[in-house]
Formats: sequence, C-alpha cells, structure tokens
Amino acid sequence: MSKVTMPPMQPLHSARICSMDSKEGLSADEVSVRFGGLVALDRVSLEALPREVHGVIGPNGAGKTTLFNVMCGFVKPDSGTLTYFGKQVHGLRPEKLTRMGVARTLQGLGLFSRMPVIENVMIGADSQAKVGVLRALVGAGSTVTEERRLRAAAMEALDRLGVAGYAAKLPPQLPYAIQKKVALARALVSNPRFLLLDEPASGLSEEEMGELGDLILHLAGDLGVVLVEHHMDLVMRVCSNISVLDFGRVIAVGTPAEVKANPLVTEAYLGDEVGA
Amino acid sequence: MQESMVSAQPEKKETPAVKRQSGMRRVLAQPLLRNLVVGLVALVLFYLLIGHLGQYRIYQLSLVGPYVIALVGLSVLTGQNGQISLGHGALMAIGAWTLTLLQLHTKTPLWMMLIAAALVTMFFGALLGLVAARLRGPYLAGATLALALGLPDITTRYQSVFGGYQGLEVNQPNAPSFLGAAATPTEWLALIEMVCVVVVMVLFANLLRSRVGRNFRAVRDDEIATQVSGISVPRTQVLAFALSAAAAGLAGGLFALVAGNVSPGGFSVVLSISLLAAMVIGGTGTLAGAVWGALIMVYVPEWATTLTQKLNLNQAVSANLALAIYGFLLVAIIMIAPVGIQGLVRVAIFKLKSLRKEPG
Ligand SMILES: Nc1ncnc2c1ncn2[C@@H]1O[C@H](COP(=O)(O)OP(=O)(O)OP(=O)(O)O)[C@@H](O)[C@H]1O
Ligand SMILES: [Mg+2]
Repeated sequence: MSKVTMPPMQPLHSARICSMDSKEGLSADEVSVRFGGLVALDRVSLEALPREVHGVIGPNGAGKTTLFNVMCGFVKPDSGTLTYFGKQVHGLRPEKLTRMGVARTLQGLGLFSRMPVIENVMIGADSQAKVGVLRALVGAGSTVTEERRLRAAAMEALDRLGVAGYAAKLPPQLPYAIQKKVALARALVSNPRFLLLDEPASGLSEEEMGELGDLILHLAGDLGVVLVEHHMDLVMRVCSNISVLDFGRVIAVGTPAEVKANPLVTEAYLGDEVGA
Repeated sequence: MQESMVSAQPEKKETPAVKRQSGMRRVLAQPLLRNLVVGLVALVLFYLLIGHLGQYRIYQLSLVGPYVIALVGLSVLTGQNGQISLGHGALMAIGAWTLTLLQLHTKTPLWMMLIAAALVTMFFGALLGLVAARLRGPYLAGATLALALGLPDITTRYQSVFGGYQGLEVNQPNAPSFLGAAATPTEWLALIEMVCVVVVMVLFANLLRSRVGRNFRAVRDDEIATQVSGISVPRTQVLAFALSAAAAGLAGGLFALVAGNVSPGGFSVVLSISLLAAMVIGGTGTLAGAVWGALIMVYVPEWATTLTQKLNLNQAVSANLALAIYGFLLVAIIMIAPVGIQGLVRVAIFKLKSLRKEPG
C-alpha cells in the first residue's frame, strides 16, 4: 500500500530553485510557536517530500493546524526555520508561498459563500493571473482572454473532482461533501507542488473517504501531500510517513506500521483510535 | 444564459433578419462592447431628454450625477469588498477643493481638473485604505467617521487657502461654441456629468467582471481563505479604497461645479451618512443601485419640500420631513428587500422573463 514512496527523484522544476543543498522539499526545522503562555509548537521538525504523502496526526489541540499555518506562511514561528527546496522561506507572506507552489485547504471549508463555485475555484487560480488594475478597468482584450483561461482551468479542476456540474451554484446550496471537493479544487487549480490538507475527510461518508484516499494517492503521483487527519484508516492507507504531534511536540515519526506499534502514540491517544 | 439560449436554438435556415439579430447579440455578449453600447445609448437619450426640460429641472438632474458616481465607489467598497466607510463625504470634499483650487490658481482645462480631483482623492483614499486594512467593522466605521468629522475643520482652520465657512466660488464652464447658443452652462454641465457617469459606470463594470473584482469579493467573503489562495488581503483592501476614493473625488469635483461653490457645510457628516443610507436603499454592491440611490438623494428632499408647502407645514417640519422619509425608506427597504431597490428590480425582471418563457 505504501509503495508511493519514490526512489530518489529529480523533479523537473526543483532544479531551478534547488541549491546544492540536500533539501528536496518543504521542511520545517525546529519550529516553535507560542500563543501567549501556550506553547503550540515546541521545536517541531517535519520534512515533506515531493510525491510522498506525509501524515500529521495527534489529538485535538496538538498543534497540527498551527504547523500548517507555519508551513504556508500564515504564522511566523518564534524560532526555527522553514525551507523550500533548499531555500529559506520563513517570514514570507502566505501569498508568496502560494505562488511558489504551496497550496492548502482549511480545516472547515473556507469557501466564499456569496460567490458561485466556479469563481471560488478561479480565486485559487489567481496566482497565475497577470492582468493589472488598469487593464481590468478599461476591459482590455487581455482581460477577456485571461478570464477565459482561468475559467477553463477552474472548470478542469472541478471536473477532475467530478463536481463540474455545480459550477454555477453558491456553496451554501451544496451538500457538505461537494463543498469539500470545491475547496480541494480551489487548492489544486494553482498547480501546487505541495498540497497541505487539513482534515479533508471530516464530514465525509465511508465511501467518500475511500474515494478521497484514491484521489490523494493519485495526486501524490506528481506532488507532495501533507495530510492532517483524525481518520486513522485513511491515514494508514495513504501515508508513507507519519509524524505524531502531542502538546506541540513530535512524539513519533515513521512509517504507518512503526507509528502504530509505538506505545507513546497509543498513550497519547489513550488507545482509542489508533488501535482500530 | 443568453449565449446558451442562442446556441440551444434548433438549426434554422438563417434569414437575413435572424442573422442580423444574432450578430447584434454577439456584440452585446462582449462585455466591453456591450458596456459601450449601453453607455452611448444612455448618453443620447439623456441629450434628447434635457432638450425637453426647463433649466431648473436640468439643474436638479445634474445634482444626481455626482451622487451616482460617489455611490458607485462606496457601493463597490462596501458591497463588493466588505469595507464600510463613513468618510466618503470627506473624500468628496477633497475632490471638490482640488478642482476649486486648481480653477482658482491655474488655467488647467476642465477635463484635467476632473482627473486631478479623482487622482488626488485616490491618493488620500489609499492612505485611508492603509489604515482601514488594519481595522474591521466598527473600528473602521469609527476611523472613517473621524475623517468626516475632522476634514471640514481643516477647511475652516486654514481659511486663507480653503475659504473658511463661506468657502470658495467655483465658475461653471461655458459650453463650447460648436454646440451653438442652444446649450446653456447648466445644460453643458449636465452633459459633462452624464459623460462622467457613463465612463465611471463602464470602468467599474469592467473592474467587477475582472479578477480584481473577484478578489474584492473573495476578501469580503473570507479573508483567511483569500490569503491562503495567494491573494494579499491588505493590498486588495487598499486598492478597493483607493478606487472608491477616486470615484468620490471625481464626484466631489463635479459637485463643486454644479453647486458653484465649495464650503464645509456642503460636506458635513450628514453627507457621508446620507450616502451610506442611499447606498443601502439603492442596493449595496450593485452599479444600478447607485443610480436609484442618487435619485433618492436628490428627489426625496425635493418632494418633501413640495409636500410640506402643499400641506402648509412649518419650516421645522419641512426640514426634517426629508430625513424622516429617508429613515422610513431605509427601514422599509432593509425589511422587504435586502438588496435594495435594485434587488426588487432584479426579482421583477426575473419574473417577467419566466412569464415570457412559459409556452403560450
Ligand atoms: N491564533 C491562536 N491564538 C491562540 N491560541 C491558538 C491560536 N491558534 C491555535 N491556538 C492554540 O494552539 C493549540 C494548537 O491548536 P491547533 O489548532 O494547531 O490544534 P490542532 O492539532 O489543529 O487541533 P484540532 O485537531 O482540534 O484541529 C491549541 O491549544 C489552540 O487553542
Ligand atoms: Mg486543526
């Protein structure tokens, strides 16, 4: 199942940014984040590699979302660094990182509720758009062509997830599972090299979760995925490596089998979910 | 929707008439062309209309223009980008004084003065936007209200520059000779305004249809999701404020021309608040709503005055009747039509269309 692990690879585009440094992906090193007196992350390290699904699990409040917030530039760590293909990127604003190829979905939905589905996804594609304000104001021909291109890209992303039929609907009109897919399409349409998924399976049925697993494995064919999930079946199925967080610390890293066998992990979860 | 209707039509032998119609439709399906065509038609109709009106009626109409433009800016800022401003009256003042001072001290052509009014105000709007990007909801309302309250004070403090309580006079431009003796300054001004309204409408319609407008809306709906999608929220907010202010500045410049003078009394907090109320009544976030709102801003006080005269009410009542009607309209609209008058219009059009579609 975890055959997704790739041999040492030469990703096409990494050559450009990659220095001689051995860092091949998106990695957090010794990252710490404090909120007032609360230590949300305590010297956490995680290395996400291209074409690999890296799981991040841990009980509620362990710091998983905070780690994502650091990895996409949303929260500046108090200490530690963020490296992307060997380049230091901590301190960059989230829109910069998105443009460099780090996309994420939000825990919850984060859809634009008063914009049709297609526009929701087009927002995700905006990082590829170039038309400026002046040309937008005068309605230059380039705006029209670019809009058409973004629309086509968004439509394709929706189609890939099988929800193109809902393009004209407003998100609140749709079932939760469909909304989840729209949110995923919005992240995918930017052609990311790394995709951070924060609890993508929450609220999905057993069957939908199976589909999601297939999709994640398929996506990992050409990009790196970091997956935060509480559903252990899914995590164990798709991840090649798992980091376990508890109270802001990494208490275990390893393959699904190793993590499963680790008594510290069982203890952190009080034995309820991992054993399943 | 129209395009799909056209393509869904069964293959017919194309008579020339059908061909011409679909050609016209194709033109109208192009946003830029459609906007231009609609704008030009509006301009011509307006020109024909003022030929039939007396000078006072034309003067009244020309009060509508600046409000339309200011409301377009405010409505885009609030309805599309989710930022509130109680300071748009003050932004109009900046445009008004810019034009007035240019007219007083330089020989700048009219069109350049109007552009300058927009650009100078845009600059201040961008500054305000930088502040606004850090504030939300009531704090933003407070900050912009402070501007509306404070700005008139500046004009009285520096009397020698801004003219104090009396303000400054503004000369109305004369119609160019090619229009003949037929066009009075009032008519000429009304035409200039209509051109400005059409230009602003077309520009903002383009904007809202572009990625810029979409980014505005994304920020309105969910800032965090916007940011993780690779769009800078503060930059988008500053841009929205700047463009909105540019409209307010142009509106202020035109307002100064119509009024024939600028004084702090004309740009009090009441103006800012009336703009906000008119925006809601007209339909927040819609361009057509700005037209409804502006008509209400001009004609409700007028009707109120006529009404009080007819009913022989005293001065104190007549002064407040307009406000009362305003308040009543505001409450009524918020209760029956959350998207204002334009929302009602849309529902009506939709119903008419579905009536027509029913097989006869
Ligand atoms: N902006 C913030 N301000 C203050 N405290 C925060 C903030 N964000 C997160 N926290 C706290 O940091 C800790 C880690 O939160 P985080 O959201 O990262 O957990 P999580 O592992 O994603 O949990 P869950 O499984 O419930 O999503 C929690 O105690 C949370 O209350
Ligand atoms: Mg979380």
